[in-house]
Amino acid sequence: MKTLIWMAPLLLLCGCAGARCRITARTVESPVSCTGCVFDPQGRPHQTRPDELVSHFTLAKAHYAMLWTAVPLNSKEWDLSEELNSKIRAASGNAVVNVTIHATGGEWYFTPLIPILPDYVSMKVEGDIARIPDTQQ
Amino acid sequence: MRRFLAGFKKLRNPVVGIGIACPQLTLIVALLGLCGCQSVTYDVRRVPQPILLNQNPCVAGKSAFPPQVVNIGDDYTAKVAQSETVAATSQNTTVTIQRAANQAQVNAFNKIGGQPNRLIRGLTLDVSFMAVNGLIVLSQNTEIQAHGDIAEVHAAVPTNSPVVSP
Repeated sequence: MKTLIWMAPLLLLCGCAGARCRITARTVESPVSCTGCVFDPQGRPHQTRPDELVSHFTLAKAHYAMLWTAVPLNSKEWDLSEELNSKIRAASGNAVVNVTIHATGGEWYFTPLIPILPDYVSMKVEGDIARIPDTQQ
Repeated sequence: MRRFLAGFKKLRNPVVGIGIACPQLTLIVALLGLCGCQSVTYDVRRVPQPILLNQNPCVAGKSAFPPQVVNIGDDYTAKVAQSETVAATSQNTTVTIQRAANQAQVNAFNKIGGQPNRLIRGLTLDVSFMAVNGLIVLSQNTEIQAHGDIAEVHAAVPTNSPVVSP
């Protein structure tokens, strides 16, 4: 009984915190590759050369959740399509290559203890816009 | 209690006095002030074939015979994760255990490596961060879970078959 009495406050002080997010880019018309390779209009693999890369981009977002991840404060999905389409148009490119995703989870030690405090995961997406010439003339 | 009072009297600063007198309290306060920060990166740039976030692997062009892209019924999953557990011991020290995993490139090579017409498409990346706090134990895990479909590109071959009109 004594053990239960001193363990009860300890259990009350335990908790968990966190955040989740899904990254997608389903509706981009041009290829969005995480590697430096895409297929050319004839279906042959094409490794992009440095001279074909016309611009570099970075997109960042933080996703918050509270009450031990039960209440997300942002949309559960981060669709990059709109942002990527506008970057492609702005650079007059026809492919997105070398996409990397960087996620950082950060928290104060007390955020899991107080579930009303929101916790977050911050995400950074980097990549290059490429302009690949159509070789078939 | 005597030690607590002695520490309190010895130093006129009460905060420092309490800290010296009660190291357990100092440890808890220090742990409360701690913040953790973990990073993981999904980077597959060394893979020689496309790994696509969307469905279209081909650059738009003027080709009269666009290639066909067909899913082959296989899928790609990979996890990039980093976790850290910090536990306070009875001697006012902490023990840190760190774990890391990165299957992104290896799994991609295993699925599509060596087959130049294969690719991964429809990739979704689930980013999650979880922290568990047990007052004297803090464990946190940051991970990116990737999932996509394996597909093949078949270049359309123009045929010379005659067009038969009805």
